[in-house]
Amino acid sequence: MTSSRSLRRLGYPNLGLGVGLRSKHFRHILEEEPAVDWFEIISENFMDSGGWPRHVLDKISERYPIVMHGVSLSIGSTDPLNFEYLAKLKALREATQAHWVSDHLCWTGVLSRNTHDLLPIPLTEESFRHVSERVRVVQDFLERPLVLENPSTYLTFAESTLTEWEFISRLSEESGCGLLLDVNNVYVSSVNHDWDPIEYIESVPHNRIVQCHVAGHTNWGTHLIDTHDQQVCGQVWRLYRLLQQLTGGVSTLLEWDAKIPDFPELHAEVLAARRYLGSEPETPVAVRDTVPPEEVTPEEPVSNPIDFLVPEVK
Amino acid sequence: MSPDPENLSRIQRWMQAVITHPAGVVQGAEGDEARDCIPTTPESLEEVVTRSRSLTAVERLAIYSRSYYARLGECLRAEYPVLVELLGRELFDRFAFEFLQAHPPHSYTLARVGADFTNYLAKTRPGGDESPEERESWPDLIIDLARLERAFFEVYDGPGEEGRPLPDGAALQEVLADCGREFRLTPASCLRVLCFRHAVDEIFLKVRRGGKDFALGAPADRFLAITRRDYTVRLFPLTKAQHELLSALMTGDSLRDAARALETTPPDVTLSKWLADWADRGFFREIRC
Repeated sequence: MTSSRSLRRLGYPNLGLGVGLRSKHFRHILEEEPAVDWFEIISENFMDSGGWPRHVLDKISERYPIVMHGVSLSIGSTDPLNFEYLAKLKALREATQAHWVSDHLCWTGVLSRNTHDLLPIPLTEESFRHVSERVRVVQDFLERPLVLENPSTYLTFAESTLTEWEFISRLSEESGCGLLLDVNNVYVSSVNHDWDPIEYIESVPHNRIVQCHVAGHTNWGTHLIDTHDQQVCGQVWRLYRLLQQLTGGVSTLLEWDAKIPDFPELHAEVLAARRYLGSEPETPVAVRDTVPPEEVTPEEPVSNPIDFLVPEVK
Repeated sequence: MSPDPENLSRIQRWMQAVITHPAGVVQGAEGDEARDCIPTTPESLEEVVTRSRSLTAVERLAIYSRSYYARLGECLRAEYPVLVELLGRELFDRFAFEFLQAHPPHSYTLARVGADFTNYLAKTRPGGDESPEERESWPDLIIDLARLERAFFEVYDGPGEEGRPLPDGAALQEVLADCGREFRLTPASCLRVLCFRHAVDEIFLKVRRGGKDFALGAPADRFLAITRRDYTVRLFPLTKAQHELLSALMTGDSLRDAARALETTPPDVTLSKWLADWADRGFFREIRC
């Protein structure tokens, strides 16, 4: 691991195995100081905070590396970019010394609205020009390469002329942005759109991948939903292994946003990634493939879950 | 500069109109807002959105449509958990669904999704055109509880005075002795003073601490101060006179003017005790002589 940990992509280091910072674990992290390599925060949950959440973040950022992950940049939207939002993003990055700032290849709303969902864009030349230009503006403003993630998607547009991996690869190469490859999202979208996840992972520019996500999803029978509410399934771990081999090792982050377990269980799940690092044969362990739909609860879950901070009462 | 992405803009406005339509995707696609962008019918939707091996275009759009209201409803339930307990999930979700249609989110943060919920409940209150004596009081209870939950949420995550030395009771009594009533107080940035028509703080605390059986008492004026110290939010009941005095001080009135405006001006010894007590609880940032 030493050699792959020392690789830097776009100037960004391999931080190792991290987890998403969630309010449920604030006290545990402050009191126990668990041996986690790094934390990823949801930028919007902290950029306006002046209370306990921000205090916790300030404490945690003194001890752990931080990466900022946003959900409202709306890089694909045809609404104007929000420079007040970008200024807050930049200020938070400076305050936490975050290693990089990421968001999604998506749009979240138009006509000044925010659906708070990660909506798909038509993959056309027009979209490509539009998104590339906005990435360049954002990067000029932030004075750093932006890192963009492939979202889970549930529909495609008839007018699309590019595959998602072609779009995201060209975007990274032409605009200079980094990639956050969410392996679970690749798998979820591949099932939902009937394409090959291995072709996706083999096709993207591996030297531009700064980070990857792993997470659990829900099998709804006719489609998969990105729920972040359970362990990572076998298919996703196998794609993760391929990605680590192709890249030589990139920062890995486990996302868990619903039915969040206690911290030790969450941490153990990201440490399970060690089994898939390097070139050694996979250690035979019991990892389930995606849960069959007959074992899933009857209420359809919410796609693209977003962590939201709520106050505690003592 | 690239030319305006007209086609992308049209498809985004169309998709937003379709997936946020309260009656669902089919009605959304048939609605004026969507048809102004792309004139599809439910049958021709697949000219815009492709079908997969398992799902039609309508079914694929419906995943986003269901998630839109479900996600935002979940966010409102997290912000107003006591109101959910009081109303029951079904009724709360109905209010939330109607509210989200009237006030779709505009901010980049989920923390502002519910910011207008209290005003919305007050504006759409049944019996709003009747006199306060004639109308039923239960809507007031709902509105009061929503106001308290929102205030609590804002004080929890908003600006505060942690890390700054605040004047304590002894400092205030010293100033009272030196300057009499000719001084003003700057309130702590997290201090809120509220008045209600029900004892909603009792329900709030009981439910937030895990209680399920709460009694709904008869309407009675209730005055509260809410503030935060060392990142802990606390609620303090006030009398009517204390509420009026504190409200006046918060607007910048001197102690003399604030006390004069009360129905009965309290004696120095009472004022001194109130102010010292409030200062010890971190209500004030600064004393200005």
